[in-house]
Amino acid sequence: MAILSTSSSGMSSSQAAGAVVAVPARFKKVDGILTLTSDHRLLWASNDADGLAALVIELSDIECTECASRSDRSPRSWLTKAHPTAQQQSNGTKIMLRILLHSGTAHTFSFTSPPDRDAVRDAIVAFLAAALARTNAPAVAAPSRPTTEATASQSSNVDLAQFTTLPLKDEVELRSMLLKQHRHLSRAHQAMVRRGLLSETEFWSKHKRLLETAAVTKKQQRGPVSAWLSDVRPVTNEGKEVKYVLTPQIIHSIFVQYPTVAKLHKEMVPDKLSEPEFWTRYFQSKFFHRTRTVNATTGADDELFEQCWQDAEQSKPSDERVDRLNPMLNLAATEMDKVEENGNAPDMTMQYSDKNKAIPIIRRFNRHSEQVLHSFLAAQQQQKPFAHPPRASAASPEHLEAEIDLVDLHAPRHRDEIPLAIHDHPHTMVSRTHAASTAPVRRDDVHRFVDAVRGVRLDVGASIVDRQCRHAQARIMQSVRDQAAPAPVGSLKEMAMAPTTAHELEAMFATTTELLRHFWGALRTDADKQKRMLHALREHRATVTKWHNRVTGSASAGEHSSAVIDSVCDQMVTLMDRALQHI
Amino acid sequence: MDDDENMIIDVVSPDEPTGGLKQENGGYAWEEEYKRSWDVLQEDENGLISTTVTQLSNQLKRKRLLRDTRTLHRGLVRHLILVVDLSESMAEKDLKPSRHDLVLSTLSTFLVEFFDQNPLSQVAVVVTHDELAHLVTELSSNPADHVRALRNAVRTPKGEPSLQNALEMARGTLAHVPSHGTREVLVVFSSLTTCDPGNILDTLDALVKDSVRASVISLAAEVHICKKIAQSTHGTFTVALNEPHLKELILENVPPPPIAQRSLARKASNLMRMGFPERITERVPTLCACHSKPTTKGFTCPVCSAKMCSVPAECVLCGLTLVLSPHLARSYHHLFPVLNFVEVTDWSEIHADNECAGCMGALSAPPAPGEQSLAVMRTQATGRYACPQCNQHYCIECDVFIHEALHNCPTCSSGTGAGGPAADMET
Repeated sequence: MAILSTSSSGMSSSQAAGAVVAVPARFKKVDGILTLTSDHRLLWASNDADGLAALVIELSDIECTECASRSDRSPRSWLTKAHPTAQQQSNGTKIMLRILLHSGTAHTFSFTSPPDRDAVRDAIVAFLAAALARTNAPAVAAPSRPTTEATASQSSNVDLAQFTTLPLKDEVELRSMLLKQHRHLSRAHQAMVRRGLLSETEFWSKHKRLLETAAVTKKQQRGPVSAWLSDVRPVTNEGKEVKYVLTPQIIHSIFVQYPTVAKLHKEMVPDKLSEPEFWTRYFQSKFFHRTRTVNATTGADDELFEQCWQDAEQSKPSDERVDRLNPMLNLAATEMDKVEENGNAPDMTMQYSDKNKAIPIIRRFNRHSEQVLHSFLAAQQQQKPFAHPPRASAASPEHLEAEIDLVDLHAPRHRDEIPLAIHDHPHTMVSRTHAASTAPVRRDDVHRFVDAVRGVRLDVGASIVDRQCRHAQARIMQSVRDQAAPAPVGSLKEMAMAPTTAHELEAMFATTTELLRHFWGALRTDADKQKRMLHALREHRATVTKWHNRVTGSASAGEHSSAVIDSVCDQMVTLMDRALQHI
Repeated sequence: MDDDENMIIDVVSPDEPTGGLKQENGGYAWEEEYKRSWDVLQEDENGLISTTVTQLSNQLKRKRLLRDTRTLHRGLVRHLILVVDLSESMAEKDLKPSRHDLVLSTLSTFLVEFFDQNPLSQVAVVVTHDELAHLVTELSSNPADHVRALRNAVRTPKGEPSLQNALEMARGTLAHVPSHGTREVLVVFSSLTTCDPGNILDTLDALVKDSVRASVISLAAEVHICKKIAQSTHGTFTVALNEPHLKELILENVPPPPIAQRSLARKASNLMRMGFPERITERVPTLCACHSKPTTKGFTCPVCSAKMCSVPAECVLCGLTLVLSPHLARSYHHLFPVLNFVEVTDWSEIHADNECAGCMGALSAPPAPGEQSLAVMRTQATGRYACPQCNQHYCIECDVFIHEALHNCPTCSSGTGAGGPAADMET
């Protein structure tokens, strides 16, 4: 990464300009301050230097920005950020912003808090959006004003029409990301939009599918995993140490499951105990082991966690009355009940050997299931606060019948199907020759026929005397050989051609396809666009022929590559002629 | 206390659902620890491997029975999204060699067969793992692309699947499908859980509104939400019992399904514009419009002369659907399927030759007049299957071949069958 050095005049003028956003940031492991000035510059100065900007970036040079998604999964993150939103962030993310310039260099800044990073990013994106509005002014008759983002969406609506349901800011980011990923797209974009032939809207209207797919991918969210995160397994290395790995997510789930532990943690840490000490004692305590295994004698005695143990042990299931009980549900049945042997009586053979030891684990399972269900039902209750199941129909005949009458017992019904109205004409696919004899073909006939065919010899050479026939035969054989030969799909233009020529040829082809795509798209729909495209096509055709003449005139390498150049240029001209003739 | 592991569970195996490949204990695949595949081949007292042969013939017989031959409206231009679950549960080894490998290989076969039978359709592939869904390939008609992308998608399955994310992504991809094409989703789901960011019933409502037909094949057990999704969208929900059954279930989705009445309402146009491209071969390569790569072979669009690499496809420049006439012919067969052949049970009906009308192979001759006891006449299988229209007899292999590959009864088409349509033809 190269640091752009600035001239002294630049630096002095930057000191004079006002700062729009100024936040502390780290660049290349040095602390400093990042400033966005009102004359569209981004400055970074380190804290050690006295006000001199070490890095100056013109906002017009910026191609796109990226927010960091690298997460830091080191166990050293004993962060105290174990609050409810921790589950949605990846743990220990470095809050970074990466700025890509047109020249390809990238600069990475890391911030201390997300709002700082967001402020800088918003300002840059606003500037980019305004710049887009400015460049599209000659192509479209909308008034161009270098405005901030809020008014840009209102005034230049024509240009920044959205193709996805994302907010405008995100869509602009998405577009720049797509341009970065697909080279042919950026080439076409370069050719068309930068030169003012097309507006952004029109360009993206042809590539709507890409945008929408990318938007769908971006909109996805991760659901909360209901796995048992608080069940931490130790990592033993060579039998000596026992290591427990804790991340903020696991800490959060422990707090949710055992609120007493959360309370203790809040009281003890960081005043009386440090974090590592707290967690060491936790893992060593009886409480931790009792709730995990049936043989609860491992672990040290620790009066801290005795309190938690008391709470867990004493807590009875809540005493709310369940009055809306479904009589069809037999809550006491287990899968051990063998209906064939015992009828409806519950099974008496499978019993716990020691109920007391099993109860903590059973309680743990129940509590976890309760939490999982609550997370869903609470949301549902919020949506429909007044829905309650009907009480009166508990034992009504319809209710009973609905319970007994399973869907699987009925034959599959074919409803909603439309019979075909077309009649099959068997004559269409039937041979029109009548069998001369009505006797069916027999096996001996087949054998005789096969023998007869085997005896036939195709003697071509002797009968063809005429030179024209032989010429025709040679041509036919040649075309058959060509078709059978594997296609030499070489990668791009490695056909003994100068790389600049290849590059130019590719670029011209990209422009051609893009122009033609828009032309054919606007053929019957948009007359104005069609005229513009026609005009552009004529110009481009002239450019291609001129380039072709120039290249063939100059000394080019090998005749094979010139043949390729010829054929490609001819192809492009044919394509364009086809379009021009179509009107 | 732990002797229960070795207890053999005595389960009555369902009646021949596996096509003859019964397990050792007569139970389900997941009940066994390992499978001794060499036990399948057993020699009887004469040293012949006739059991294998009978098993194969039983398999063929099963294939005959399940065909849907009603003439209904079917969607021939299909847009299918294949959703594959690549979560941790796919690493289970209850389906040999592992669920992941088996599903990938079966889906490769499915994709090739699908494009063979439905040349006008397009497929996209979505995989779900780590609680997210990823679109692996876009909607396209090239089976090789999809097979390759599936293989490279994820090497080791991990994480949990997200049914809602996958269905939302499928719905988003199907959103801009033209109204004359069908919208279908086929989900191969192996997990018993799903990890969703929101309420999946909302997604279900959206699917019904967009008239998307979702079918689910479950590898583990019947999961209520999968069944509900399939039934609400008029799709099918099935659970695979073992490997041959899974292959059968996946291949059942190859023939186009009937269209339900409600989705006709959203069909705006009934005519589809298609073009027939010309196949060209050149000495000097030119660039193709779809990949901008130099090629010597291709198909040129009749409207704009752009060169496309493979067909059927949509022309990149002018948007015209390019097809060849064999593609249309292959789709036509699905509208008028060959009627199911009827097994000939009555020996007295057989008075003609003892040769199969399709392959000239020998069919079993009726027993001599001396041996025509009631027991023989009623129970011995004739091994003959007759076409209901022309009454010609075929053997079982010809029957399966005609219905799966040929889609035409040879004697009906050649007009030599008695009572066939040849009688109505004008000269």
